[in-house]
Amino acid sequence: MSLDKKHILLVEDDTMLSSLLASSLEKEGYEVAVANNGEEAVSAIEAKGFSIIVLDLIMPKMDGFEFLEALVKNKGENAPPAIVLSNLAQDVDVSKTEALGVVKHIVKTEVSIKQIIEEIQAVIGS
Amino acid sequence: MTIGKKLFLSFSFIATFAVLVTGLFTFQSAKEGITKRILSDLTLLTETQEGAVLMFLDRIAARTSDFASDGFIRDKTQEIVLGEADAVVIKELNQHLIKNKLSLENAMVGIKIIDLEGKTIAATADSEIGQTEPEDSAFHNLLPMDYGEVVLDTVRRGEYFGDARLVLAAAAPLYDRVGEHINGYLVAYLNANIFNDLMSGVYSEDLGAQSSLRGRSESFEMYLVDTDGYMISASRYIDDVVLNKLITIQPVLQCAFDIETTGFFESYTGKQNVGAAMCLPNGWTLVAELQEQEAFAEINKTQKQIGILILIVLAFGSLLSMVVVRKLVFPIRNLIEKTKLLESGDFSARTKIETNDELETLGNSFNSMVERLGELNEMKTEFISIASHQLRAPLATMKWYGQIVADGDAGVLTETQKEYIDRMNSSTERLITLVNDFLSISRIDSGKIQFNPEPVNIIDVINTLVDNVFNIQIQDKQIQYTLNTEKKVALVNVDPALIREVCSALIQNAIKYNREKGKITISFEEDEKLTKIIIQDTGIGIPDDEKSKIFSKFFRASNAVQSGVGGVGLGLHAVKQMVELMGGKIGFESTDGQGAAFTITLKKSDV
Repeated sequence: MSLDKKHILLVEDDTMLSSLLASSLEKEGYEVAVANNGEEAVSAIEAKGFSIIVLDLIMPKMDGFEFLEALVKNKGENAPPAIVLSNLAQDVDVSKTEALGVVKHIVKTEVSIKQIIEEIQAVIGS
Repeated sequence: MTIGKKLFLSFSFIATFAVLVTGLFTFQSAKEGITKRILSDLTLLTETQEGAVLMFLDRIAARTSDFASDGFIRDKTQEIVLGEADAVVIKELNQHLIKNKLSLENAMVGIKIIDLEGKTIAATADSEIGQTEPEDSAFHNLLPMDYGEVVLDTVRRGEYFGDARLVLAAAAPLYDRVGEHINGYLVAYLNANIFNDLMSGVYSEDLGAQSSLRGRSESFEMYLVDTDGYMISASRYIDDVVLNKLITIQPVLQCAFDIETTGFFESYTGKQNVGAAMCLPNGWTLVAELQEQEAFAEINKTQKQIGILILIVLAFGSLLSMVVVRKLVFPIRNLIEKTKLLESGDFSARTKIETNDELETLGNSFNSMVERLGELNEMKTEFISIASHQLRAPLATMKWYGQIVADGDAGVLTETQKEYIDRMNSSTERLITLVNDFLSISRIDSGKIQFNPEPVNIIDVINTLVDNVFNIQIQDKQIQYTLNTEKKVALVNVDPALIREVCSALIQNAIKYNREKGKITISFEEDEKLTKIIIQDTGIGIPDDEKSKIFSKFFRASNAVQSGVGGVGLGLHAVKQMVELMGGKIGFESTDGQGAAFTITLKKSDV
């Protein structure tokens, strides 16, 4: 693990999006690990530490909500910060994620990749 | 009026009515029955007593007549009258009267013989002899009577035979032996106290009715009234009443017309009595009466009992209706409460009715219904979530990849390529907006939009939109865009997401329907509490006859359709809903063919 690079866990089941996002983030100098669903994300978290989690909500096997619950249960205070990046925009969904402790809830179709990078930088720096 | 009150009133009314009717009816019949019985008893009594009195008077008359037929008396009287008698004769006569006549009748207190001038010439008491009958005496000027005829006086009070007495006098003519000439009169005096005894039942032959009345009743009395209207027997209420009190009660007055009264009248004591009267042939009235109150004491008691019964029934009625209220109304109220909860969107509302009747069934149906509604509600939320995701996912991909390419990060672009990719990105944005509109409408329709107001800088919102979302379109169409911000605009109290959608939609329209090289001007107006945002364009405008429908769902103005510009007719509808949800207003002015100016009025933030 390189010490000067920040590690991002990207949890996203849509491969087209995840590959684009991962390469964009890597260009910015981050190390990115991709998990395709909540289960893989849980394993990834166990295996190593991350500076931030970028999390989709609607995924097979274990969705984002369930993952967040597991995260809180397993890691509690030590859990890395999470930004939700989802298509869900309803208030009820936003409240849910905020209640689960996410830093920000971003709707995919409302932002550009640039803006996403800015949000991540705001949380963990470059 | 609540059901409880209605029930209570119904119960009370029915019960009271029933009791009253029954009671009144029973009371009436009973009173009639009792009245009949009392009057018949009294009538029987008075008839009997009348008989007794008359019999007595007849006896006295017979006695007097008998005495007056005595030969010795007649002879001696004649002698005295003719002046042929001396003191011895008179004394003989007196003795005769005393021994042989007076002794025959206990009721008599004395006998005297008067001459035609009214002077007493013989008597059973010496004190009487020589006295002349007073002017007002009944025997002062007696009219000629037949042999054997007797005349009865009225009851009088006075000095008779050496004592103050109450007397009734009977007079008979003393004829000479030949029967042609009246020499004088024999006057027999009765102790009028005898009438007290008659009235009080000492001589009563029919003890049955009288004794029962007397025994039962405290106010019962029977008395005699003479022709002048004076009482001639003792009263149980007033001392020394005989010949001192004028009795003017109805029965007495009616006897003047020979009408015998039975019924209710005001007695000489002033009380309301029930009684019967007999009109004696000699002009006297015999009255038997008792107090009405006493006579109908039982009935009156019954009346009171009925009154108490009514109160009990009322008390019972309220108790009963309270129980019914509990059983009926409480469950209904519970149901109303839960329905109100449901109205406000709480799908967890359930009733608990265990009355084992139709209400319980209703309650259970209600609970099932609410559960079903809750499920449907859940499904709606789920649907919107799913729809959001499914529609947006590919759009997100299109947007991001499009941006990467447009930014040149996927390779250098030719002019044309850049142009094309920019247009594609613009379309992507429009599609994203459209999807957002659809989803907003779905949410508004199902009541799912939450409005979380906070102070928002409206200028920032507009700038972000114009710079990031609409910049390409504005460039493409060469729109002249102006934002008037000479004055500082206050923060507005709105939901940031909603206001963003609203502004986005209006700006989009301003661009969409505008002409090439047209203008868009955004300006602001303020007063104390409100901020107005005016978005003015130089587009196709809105025809007059379609202005009223412009905010309707799926409505597109004819000129919009003809222009070939895309759209579903949701934009303005959604905008209006959202603006109103934020407590604001939307309006517009437009001239067909020249453009439109939409104004949103929003509440200022207090901060």
